[in-house]
Amino acid sequence: MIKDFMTQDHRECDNLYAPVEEAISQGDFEKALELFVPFKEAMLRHFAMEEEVLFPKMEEFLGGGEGPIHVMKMEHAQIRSILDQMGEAIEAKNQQKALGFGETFMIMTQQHNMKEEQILYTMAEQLPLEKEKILQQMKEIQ
Amino acid sequence: MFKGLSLDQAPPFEAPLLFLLTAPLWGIVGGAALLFAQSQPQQIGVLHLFTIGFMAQVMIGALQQMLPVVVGVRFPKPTLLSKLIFIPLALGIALFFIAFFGQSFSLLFIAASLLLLALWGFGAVTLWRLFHAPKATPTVWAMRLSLFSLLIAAGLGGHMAVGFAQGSLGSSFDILLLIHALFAAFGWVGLLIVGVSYQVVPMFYVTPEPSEGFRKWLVWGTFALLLATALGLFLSQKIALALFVTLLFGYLLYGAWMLKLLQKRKRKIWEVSLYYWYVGLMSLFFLPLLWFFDPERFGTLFLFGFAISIIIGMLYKIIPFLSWFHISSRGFFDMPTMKEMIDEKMALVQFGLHLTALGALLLWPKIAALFLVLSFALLLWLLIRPVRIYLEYKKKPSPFGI
Repeated sequence: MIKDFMTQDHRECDNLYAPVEEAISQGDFEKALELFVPFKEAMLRHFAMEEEVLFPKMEEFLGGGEGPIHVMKMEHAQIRSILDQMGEAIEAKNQQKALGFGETFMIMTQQHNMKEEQILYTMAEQLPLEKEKILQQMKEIQ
Repeated sequence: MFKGLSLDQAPPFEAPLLFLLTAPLWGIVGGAALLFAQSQPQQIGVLHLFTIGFMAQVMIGALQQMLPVVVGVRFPKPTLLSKLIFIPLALGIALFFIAFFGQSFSLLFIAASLLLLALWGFGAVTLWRLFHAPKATPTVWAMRLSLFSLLIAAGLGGHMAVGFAQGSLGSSFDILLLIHALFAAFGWVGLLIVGVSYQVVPMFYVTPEPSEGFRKWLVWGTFALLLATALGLFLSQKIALALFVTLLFGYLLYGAWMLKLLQKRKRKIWEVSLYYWYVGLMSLFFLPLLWFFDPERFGTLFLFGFAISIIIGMLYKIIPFLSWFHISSRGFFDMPTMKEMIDEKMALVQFGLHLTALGALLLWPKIAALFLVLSFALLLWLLIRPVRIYLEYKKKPSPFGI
């Protein structure tokens, strides 16, 4: 349930990313920026759903510290940083840089998503969490 | 419930790098040796520089990296383990080559022991880790069956090498040789590529998600046909042949299906690793036909057209990403992006050299050696740059003090 919802949200972010990259590669920076803004919002919203709702609930059972959730948050920070740099490159109309950050974003995010989908969300499904409530709270995040 | 689970980007870069960066060296030696290989034993020596030297080394390096991502478990003491596998593997490959190339078969006792130690050691540890996966997805099953095939292929290979060393090949040598090749190519190499592609292709290129049922069916179907073909060899050549051709059509189906997914990809950008995927998958289309007309070229196309193409394509992603990732994890922001670490134009030249080498191997083997050496040398040169960048940053103090 949580797993399906969050996995689907990963795919939706990917779908928003692809046209941004296409616009950059065509040199259409205005369109790229127009598409980049909602894409970045979707990414940040996904992180917020995890960091504000799902992860704290999971940490009640798993504990904090250096565990898997800590690692996921560190990777979120890395991805946020690439997104910021990518946005700056688009604004500066620097095609090579923007595409470079785009590619790096993609691989970084996909290996991160794989870990969440293979492992973390599977853990979430197996923990005795109030899943309906968590889903609801995640959907309310803007 | 989740004890020992780690999502850390383990292992340290140095552990897989040992295998990944030295692999193209075997390709260079293999290309050069091809020029002088006359007899069949010499060709066996050269062949294994590509299969164990280049391919298996990259696959072992990549598996170390994939395991924490896909399964959430890391190897115990990754750097030490990496060295413990790498040293016997590299020594084993070198001795194996020298033994066959210089016709000093008694060396094969040591070569086979070292190779078995490395390949069985790695295979067993990884399989054991893979059985701890929280969920057995089709990718996890493909990896398990691939490693199981590695154990079989390496075991038979060791047995045959000892036969060579003793000067008595035994009456079942021909059948064992076929089973060895079958499990090495269509089990270990093929299933690992299939399993990894299930994860990597939809996610990296944003393609539609393949159905879980079909993914699972393809993995089990392939392995079942592999086993049946091997057993069939003991019963009747005809049955074995029919099963093997069905297996080839299974791979053809896989190729067609992956190409269809790639056609529908949302990321429209073309880059060198995508070209490599296309060449690799399209090579599968010609395998059934070649098998009937020209078994030798069949093997060449499988190795250099399918497997090595896809492996090189993946190297272009793995090494720059890991370099970037390990620098970024220490808190730096100013390093080059993945794309800037690899000279894209030169990577296309390297792709051209690889294609020329493949064409030459199929049509005019005499000149293939030159293009193989050039292709692997340029690959190595291109891959060294991201590693140098990583090493430069490693010397700098981290902005976070990590």
